[in-house]
Amino acid sequence: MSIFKKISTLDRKWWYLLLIIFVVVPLLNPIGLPLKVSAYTKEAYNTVDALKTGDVVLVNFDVASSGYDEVKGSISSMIPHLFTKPGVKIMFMTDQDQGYIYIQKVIAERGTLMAGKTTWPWYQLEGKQYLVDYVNLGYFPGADKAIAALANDFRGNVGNKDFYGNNIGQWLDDAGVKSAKDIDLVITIDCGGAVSYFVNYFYLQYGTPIICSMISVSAAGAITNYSAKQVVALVISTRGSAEYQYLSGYFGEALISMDAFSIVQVLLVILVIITNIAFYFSREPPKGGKP
Amino acid sequence: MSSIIKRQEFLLAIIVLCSVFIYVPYFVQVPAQVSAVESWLINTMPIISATAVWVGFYTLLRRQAVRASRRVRGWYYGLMMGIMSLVVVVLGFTVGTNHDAFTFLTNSFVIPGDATIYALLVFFLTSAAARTFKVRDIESSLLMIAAFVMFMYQAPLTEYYLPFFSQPGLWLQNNLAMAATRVFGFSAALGGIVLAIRLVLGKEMGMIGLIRRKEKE
Repeated sequence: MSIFKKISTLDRKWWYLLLIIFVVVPLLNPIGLPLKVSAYTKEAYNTVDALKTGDVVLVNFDVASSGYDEVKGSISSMIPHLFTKPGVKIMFMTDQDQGYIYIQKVIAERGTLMAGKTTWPWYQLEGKQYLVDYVNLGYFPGADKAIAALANDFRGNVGNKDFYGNNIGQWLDDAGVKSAKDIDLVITIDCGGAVSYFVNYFYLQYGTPIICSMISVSAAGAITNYSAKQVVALVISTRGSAEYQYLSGYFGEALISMDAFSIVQVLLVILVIITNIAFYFSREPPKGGKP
Repeated sequence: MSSIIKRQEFLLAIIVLCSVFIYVPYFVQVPAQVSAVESWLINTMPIISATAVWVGFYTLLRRQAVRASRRVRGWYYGLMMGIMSLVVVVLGFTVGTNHDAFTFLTNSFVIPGDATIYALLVFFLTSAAARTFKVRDIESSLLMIAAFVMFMYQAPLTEYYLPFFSQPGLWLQNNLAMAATRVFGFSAALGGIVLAIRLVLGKEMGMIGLIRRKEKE
């Protein structure tokens, strides 16, 4: 059997082994390969950075554990960056049953317990305190229907209780949030495509600006929204996360994993080229003709 | 009364009324009372969706119970899924979703399992790409060239060291990919509108389970 035939019929286990090596080695020994910051991420950073005192931001965690690893870099950098903006009121919500876990996780990892408090939700992050500067509205089941209802009558659908049962009626009244038009920015961290709901019900009906951080499979659709100016900025997958970490100074795993990311992508291109060469030279000659 | 509720005309009337109250105020200025009904309908939708989850839960339990009683292949996995679902529901209702026991189940079973399955995709994707992206004819050659350009444009290392892929990559993304994505979007939206019209006209009764009932009758 020729070398080309061998390559083109190589067992997939060898590809897996190669992949493991090229992922694990750079992860354990980061090289620091260059990374260009994309316009999408720069726009996201600038939009968050331009928030003013009195602005109200809704952060939706459309996050499930399946896609969490892809967006955790943007969560752990964008949320603390948002918390550094003075006078900005922040509301967390989730349209995924697992989303609340990650809201708590990011605040616990980057923040500290408030004085005299021992448990959730009494955490402070970058000087912002729970029920003073931010609240967690919790889980809203119903996907697009829930987002439509929130856009239509935000105050009525949220009610007076947060995820933990605390009274947030006064907080919401002080923030002046009645419908989607009273929200100055929506940040949606997407593993399941919630950005389309926010575009349909928040942007198209009320013009609420949206930033979306998403997993890579959703990027193609989100870029279309971005090009149509329905979304102001994007943070795309691990790469966007690494870029945001670099811009915001909240460094983390996304930046470290970019070496493995870059190497595996180049490996994939090389593998496709090699297997195509092997395929070309190992083709069976057509019957009755020249090879 | 129950005979009226079961009638096809009654269900169709509900669909038509709901559609009118939601569609018309979207396009036309209507009195406040009509807008109030529209708001009420929109706000009621999440409650219906949440109720549907319980229908799904009941269906899952019943299906797994039937599979277990018939001892079909892999029945014990289904049984375990049913038991775990019940445990999570009972814990959620009794001790709450912030209790250590509930958090333990989520953090130790749901999250690692979910993340592992997703992470395995990278192996399948890489080996599938290496084994199936072959230049066989004109169409596959075009696909390969486009994929190669996009890859070189988007991969961090090649984007940095080979910047001349940016222009063709951007062109492909902003023209061909955008056009194709919009075609999908428009097609899906048009399909949705057609389906809604057919539903309102009573030509898609299978969607509300009436075709099967008719067959039974």
